Amino acid sequence: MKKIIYHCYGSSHSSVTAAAIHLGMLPRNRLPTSGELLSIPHFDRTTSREVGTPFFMGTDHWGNEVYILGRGRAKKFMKNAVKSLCRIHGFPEEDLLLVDALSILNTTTVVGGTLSRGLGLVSLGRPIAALGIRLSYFNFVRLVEKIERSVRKEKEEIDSPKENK
Amino acid sequence: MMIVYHCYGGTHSSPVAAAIHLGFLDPHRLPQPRQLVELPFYDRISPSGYGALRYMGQDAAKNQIYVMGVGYHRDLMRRLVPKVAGILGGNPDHLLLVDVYPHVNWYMKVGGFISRRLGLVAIGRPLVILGTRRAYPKLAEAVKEVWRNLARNTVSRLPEKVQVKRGLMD
Repeated sequence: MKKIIYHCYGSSHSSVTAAAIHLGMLPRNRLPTSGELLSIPHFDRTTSREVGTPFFMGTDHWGNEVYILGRGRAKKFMKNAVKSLCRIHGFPEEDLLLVDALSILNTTTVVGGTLSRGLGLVSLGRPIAALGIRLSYFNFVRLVEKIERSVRKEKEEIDSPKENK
Repeated sequence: MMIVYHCYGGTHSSPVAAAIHLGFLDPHRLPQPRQLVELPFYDRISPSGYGALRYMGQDAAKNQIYVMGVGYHRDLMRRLVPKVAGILGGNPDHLLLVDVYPHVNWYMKVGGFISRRLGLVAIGRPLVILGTRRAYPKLAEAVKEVWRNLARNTVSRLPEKVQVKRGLMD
């Protein structure tokens, strides 16, 4: 089983959305309503003091653990630290998937997220952030489906030689 | 117990602190420039390697000593490392993060910048060595503080040494 960490700037919008889609908390064939987005745990709720703390979001159909992580501007630091922690604790690096969910974020969410999370103007920023996520929602769905395909493909490759034996 | 000395780049003050901890350097005697340069990782890590935990050795009490560079992301990394270690099968309670960056002086900051960021080792390294020797008593004192806390077994509640100005998001 793998551990999948969706990471973004503050673990409150893009990584939460991607992890929620992955875990089936959000639909894949239609746009979610703002209400559906806001009911997702951690959505637009992670405080700046929690940036850097990974949160467990759930276990998917195949038993992979899904986490979200805010890494601020320290993406390189985070990756280096996670890699060395894998080695130190003997965790196979290929069983840990770090997925950058920030790359598909649009400006609307950045503006909304900065207002809500950065400046504390929740009532103003939260609807803008939710709107921004809805505007590029299907990019998130595509990202998650790509990740799921790669996880399952690897799994099949590992499983099939055993069946042959 | 895993003890991680961390500073900005993990390449000057933290390897020296780790070396004192491991007995490579005498806490009561100022090291010669050559001794410093021969230390593992000393003035050798490039900025692309910042953030990684590097193993320095094991002390007499079987604690593993690591160094790490956290850049300006000290608070973020102090939250991230124990939690991620927990996810990957480690025990966060057996992890001690020691910040030695407060003991870094301007000679080390400027020399380190010239040597590591600009790559002008011939100019930066002598400055960094001068700074390290000036900071040495404080670094030795920081390590002794860790020893005292380890002896008292109160390591998980070490007081924060510095208050860092918080940005908007981290």
